[in-house]
Amino acid sequence: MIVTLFRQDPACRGLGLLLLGGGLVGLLFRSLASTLPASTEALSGSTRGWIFFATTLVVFSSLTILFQQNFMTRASRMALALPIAAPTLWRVRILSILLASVLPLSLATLIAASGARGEVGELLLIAGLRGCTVLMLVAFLFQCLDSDLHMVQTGPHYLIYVASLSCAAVLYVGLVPLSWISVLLPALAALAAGAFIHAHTPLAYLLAPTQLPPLTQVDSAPPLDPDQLSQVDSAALTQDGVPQRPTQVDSAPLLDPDKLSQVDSAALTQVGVDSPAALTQNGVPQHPTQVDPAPLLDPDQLSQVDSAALTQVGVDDRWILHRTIFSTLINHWLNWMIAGGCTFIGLATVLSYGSGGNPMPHLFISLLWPVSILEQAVIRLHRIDHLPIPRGRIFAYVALTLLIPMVVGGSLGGLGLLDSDPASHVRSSQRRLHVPPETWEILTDAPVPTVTAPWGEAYTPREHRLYPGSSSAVYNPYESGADSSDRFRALQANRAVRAVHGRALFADEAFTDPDDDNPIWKGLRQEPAQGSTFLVPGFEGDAATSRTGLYAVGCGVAILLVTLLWSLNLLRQHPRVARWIATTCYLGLFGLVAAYYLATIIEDISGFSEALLVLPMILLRRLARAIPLAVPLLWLGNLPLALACYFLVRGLFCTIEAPTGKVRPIWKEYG
Amino acid sequence: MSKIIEFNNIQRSFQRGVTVLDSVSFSVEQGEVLGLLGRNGAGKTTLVRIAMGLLAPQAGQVRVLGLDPRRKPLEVKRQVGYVAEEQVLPDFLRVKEVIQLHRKLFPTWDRAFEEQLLDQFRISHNAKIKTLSKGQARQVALVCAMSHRPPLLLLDEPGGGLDPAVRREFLETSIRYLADSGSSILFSSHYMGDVERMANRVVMLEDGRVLIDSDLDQLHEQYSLALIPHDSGATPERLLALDGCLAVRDRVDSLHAILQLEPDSSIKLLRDSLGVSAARCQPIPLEEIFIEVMGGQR
Repeated sequence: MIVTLFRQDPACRGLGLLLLGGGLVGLLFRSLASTLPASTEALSGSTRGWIFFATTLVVFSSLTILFQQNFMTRASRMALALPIAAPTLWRVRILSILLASVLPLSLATLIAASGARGEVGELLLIAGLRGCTVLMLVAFLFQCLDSDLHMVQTGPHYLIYVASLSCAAVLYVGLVPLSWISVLLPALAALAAGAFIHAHTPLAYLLAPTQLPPLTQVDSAPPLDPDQLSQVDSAALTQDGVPQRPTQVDSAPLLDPDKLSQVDSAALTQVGVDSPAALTQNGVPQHPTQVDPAPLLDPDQLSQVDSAALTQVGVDDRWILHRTIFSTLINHWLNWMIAGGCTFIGLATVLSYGSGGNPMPHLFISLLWPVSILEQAVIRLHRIDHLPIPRGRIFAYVALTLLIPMVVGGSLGGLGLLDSDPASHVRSSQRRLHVPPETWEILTDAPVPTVTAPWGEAYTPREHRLYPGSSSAVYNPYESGADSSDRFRALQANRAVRAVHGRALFADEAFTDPDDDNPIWKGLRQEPAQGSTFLVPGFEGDAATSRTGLYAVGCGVAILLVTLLWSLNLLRQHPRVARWIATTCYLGLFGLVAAYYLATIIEDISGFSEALLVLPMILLRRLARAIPLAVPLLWLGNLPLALACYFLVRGLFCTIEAPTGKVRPIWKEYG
Repeated sequence: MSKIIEFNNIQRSFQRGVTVLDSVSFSVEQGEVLGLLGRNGAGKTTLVRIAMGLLAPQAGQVRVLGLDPRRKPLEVKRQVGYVAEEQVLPDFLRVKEVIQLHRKLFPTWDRAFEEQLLDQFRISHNAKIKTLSKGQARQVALVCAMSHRPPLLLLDEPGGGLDPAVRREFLETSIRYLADSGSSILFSSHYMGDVERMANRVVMLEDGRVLIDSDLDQLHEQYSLALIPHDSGATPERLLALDGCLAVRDRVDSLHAILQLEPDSSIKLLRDSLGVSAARCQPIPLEEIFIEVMGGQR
């Protein structure tokens, strides 16, 4: 029985997927943690900040999972009808919620901490476990109200309570210094809260509270006499729209059942329907046989009504229409969570790009969002589909919901981009030169060319196969080996600056001087002793915009990819397209994106993720070079492209059939 | 009379090999009330949705008020009142806001009629949709569907889940409206009493095809229930062997035979074929016709 209860709990039903997600997040953090030093003293401030930030983000995500699992519900309606004690139902439910929120986080923590060394590993462990205990406490506190009900009563007060608790949890995780005490405190509080709720749980839950709030309008009239109730006629009831107490009641005789049985269908048709009174004659409404034909509306006139008529109505009416479409299709907490996340990703993408990084991982995460928004809108479309609202207008809401956070995130990132240091595009970290990924090269069935310095020192960069057994590979032509001299590394940095910004700091011949103290290139080989990064000194490039052209092309490609995913998604609903074809295409493409993303996350396992991350950027660079347009024109070119894609998807959206689902999903049982 | 809806060889399926509607053809005349009957999954809702333009037929043509609902969806929707069992009103709005929304969307909105209906249903303008009972929410939906005085009402299981009193009030309001304006109603229902009360014509769907398309009165005349005393010598086997006998049930006092004949013809058949003279015949309720025509109680 308990197993069945667990199995039907929506939290447990999604546990496999959550664990998979937790494992992947753990692997991602593990790969990042493996680059950190073993000692916490060696950690820079930004790295400590990163650990706090990552933990906060994960806890925030786990909180959203709590919301997803309808945390305010203690038992399903079906379970309420079963002879199971309420404390048992509550234990199953809370355990399921905890499993769904804490277990993935614990898994992610363990995996991430296993990749870090020494004190840093312990730091990660504390951060993750503290997130778990805070989540446990929050889950208990969310449920500590209305302990006699199967579901906490939601209302403005409860929403404020939940929002405050969530903020407090995120702040605690993000701001309080990491220590084992900070792990134990929420754990003890969670145990106390759990014990409190368990002690106050009755033997059986109620569906609604017994104590109702006082009525705002109380009718002072005494209750009706039950004997008189049967004599109340409908006219008295409808007077003033309020049920009236009868003063004089017609004592109409009740119908004779024998007479009723004599009413046959032939008799029914003999009675014309002229008035409401006739309808209920003898207690049996008659169906009409003769009616006055009313003139039909002229379709031509109707088509002219359209927007002209609609615009004549007041602002209030328009507001209700906007609100209805928006609230029905868009305004769901999951959308907002995703929108917030994607705004952040938009910001992070532009910032990482501005500092010479690879925006691909962020971009691929943000791909999920437009698909998700559209999916949810289509699922809810049937709620307003019977209304004469143009589909194009409905689509505008969906598209704007996508566009606004992206523009906000991109604009914020753009502000950061303007402030970024162009010299940061080429930098060194732990004796390894980092260059923008588009400066890498592709090889097919050929060995990686060796880089030879003017003074004879040579190095062959490592090749990164696209996948195991592939004949194609990518390599970083500006790489240097662990044994390479500082002079060689400086030479490579100089070449990289030339590749990225179009002009080098020095001619290569400047490096022929074997003197280590040569002031020309001395600065290039220097790295801070403690800090892990140095920027190319002396470069005051005005070429911060050198990558903006590439970014414009990337945006265009992203628009096309989103359009493709949206189109395939909508084609699945299209009545004229064989669904299996569209579904196969959609799942195939989405699967490819997901597989790509997974491979890049699991780089420790695959060993070829770097190639997958770099390859799209190299191809983008080639595409950008193939388009003979200046950067402003490239950006302008995105406008007609976006408009064309918008109208293409809009056209599909206007022709799809809104899916309807009559069967109540299991998780609704908990709502 | 002009045709308000025309279904012409409508075909529709949702999965390969599972046909929901197969060459369905019939029409609804102006001022007609047509009851759409059929088992669960017979295709009633699909047909209503096709009429509304919410689904497209994979073959065949549908014309609603002379328009193709897929090509002119807004024009059709503006002239149609639609209430469905699973229809969800925006629960975050108040009644007056829902009405306001519909008022904006339907240019022919009759405000006085809206007030009249709301008063009749005794629904507060300020009530939030989510606080209404199922019956009240359905009544609000009906107000929204009727207040623009559409020439066609499409009701898909309008009484589903409602108590008899609310259901009757709901349907009587529709009939009254019909009497006033001469509109047509196409409604699907499992409540045979409602169909008998409202419709003047029924279409029965079975396995996606039209099994019966008949005036209700004619349908009643075509079937009869014969009450045959046990001591008359008739047995269920002998009765079932009669041409036109659909089913026989052994009751306490007599055998009940359902015959696809009008009462007088049934009595004559029983007398001539089995020598039964004590049989009484009476019209058969629609529910019995439905059950027997649809293949009995499977």
